[in-house]
Amino acid sequence: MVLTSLTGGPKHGYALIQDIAEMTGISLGPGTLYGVLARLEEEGLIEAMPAEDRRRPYRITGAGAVVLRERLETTAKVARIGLRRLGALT
Amino acid sequence: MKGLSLVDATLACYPEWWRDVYGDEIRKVTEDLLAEDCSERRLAVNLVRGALAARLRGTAMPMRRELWAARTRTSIAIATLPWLIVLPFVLAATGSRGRNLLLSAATVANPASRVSTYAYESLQIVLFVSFCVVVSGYGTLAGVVRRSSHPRRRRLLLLSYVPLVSFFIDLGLFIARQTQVPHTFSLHAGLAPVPLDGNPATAQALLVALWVVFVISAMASIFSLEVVTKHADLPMPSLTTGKRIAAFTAFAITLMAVLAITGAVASGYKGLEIPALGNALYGGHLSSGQYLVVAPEWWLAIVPLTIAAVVSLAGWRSARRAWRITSSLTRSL
Repeated sequence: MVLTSLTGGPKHGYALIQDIAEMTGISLGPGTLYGVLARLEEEGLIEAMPAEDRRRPYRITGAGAVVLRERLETTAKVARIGLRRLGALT
Repeated sequence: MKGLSLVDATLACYPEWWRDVYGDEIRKVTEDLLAEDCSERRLAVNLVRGALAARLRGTAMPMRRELWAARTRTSIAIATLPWLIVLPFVLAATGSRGRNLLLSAATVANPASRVSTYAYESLQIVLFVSFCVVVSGYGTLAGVVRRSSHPRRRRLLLLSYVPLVSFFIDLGLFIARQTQVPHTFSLHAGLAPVPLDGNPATAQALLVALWVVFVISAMASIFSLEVVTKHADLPMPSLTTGKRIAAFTAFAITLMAVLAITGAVASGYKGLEIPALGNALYGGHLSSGQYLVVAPEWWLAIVPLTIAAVVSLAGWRSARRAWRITSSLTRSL
């Protein structure tokens, strides 16, 4: 979710929470969000940009884009198969 | 701003290195969410969960040797302390709360009774061996602190002895109580058993004292080890020994939990008689065709042992990872 949100451009924590809530209806808490951000940053999938007024934007890296593409393709494949089978049922 | 003191308190739960990296921005996000009328309690709970995860996983912790060495020491303490905390429960389950049962030959000789007995005896062996390992571990810690050049060496040394001193005080009270617990009763039809030895009132008072002292000593042990592990910079060989002791302790506690569960389940089936598989397992206790056995109160030990096993295994896993990183950072210095 965080990686997908960052494909729309760099975002700081609060903007990420709002964007994810708009995309999925899931409202992430700051504790959860920063746990994810720390892990993604450690894995080199996102990187922090210089802070502006205590707000530090994050952007997706090249490695992050590759990982996200793989995951989205897998998810899309599963969704296509599921919808096709569901269509055959009804 | 509304609710900020609660948020400040929860942010203080995060490790210092985390606050250095993310403190300002997480506070700003929280302020924005509070201004949006988000529930401060919900935010506080979420932050506490995040702080717990940051402490447990150490994700994004800077690659500084002193930070990872401190994490290794804390993880070793987390893996070994549950042993001291769980000990009174195991002793109470296998000793003080035992009942003498008169069982028939067929009942005693059934496989479930044998399993229960083997579990009981194995648990006592594991308890004794792990006691020796944990004591030697704290001895090693005290030895390293004694030889260190830390400016507060004497204070740290005193604190490093707190878990062992607490343990021996608990043990002393436990033994004192055991001498006062009645073991022989006079039985009269329709009346409550009358104790022929010990002093039930003193035993009860000692039990209350034991629990009070146990709670205080457990908290003192946790606090003192927290201080020692934070300040005493142990050399790599001592961290390696500590990591091995953490592994042994975690597996010993897990084994004791498995043995207690096995013993409890087997005891539950004690009534099932399978004479064909019987043998003279309790030959030493044979008396006029009956056997005298001690039935441990397994359930008293299962819950604390299971919780301790989960905590200890998590501590050991964390210690293993932190030790590996500390080791590589030490080599690169």
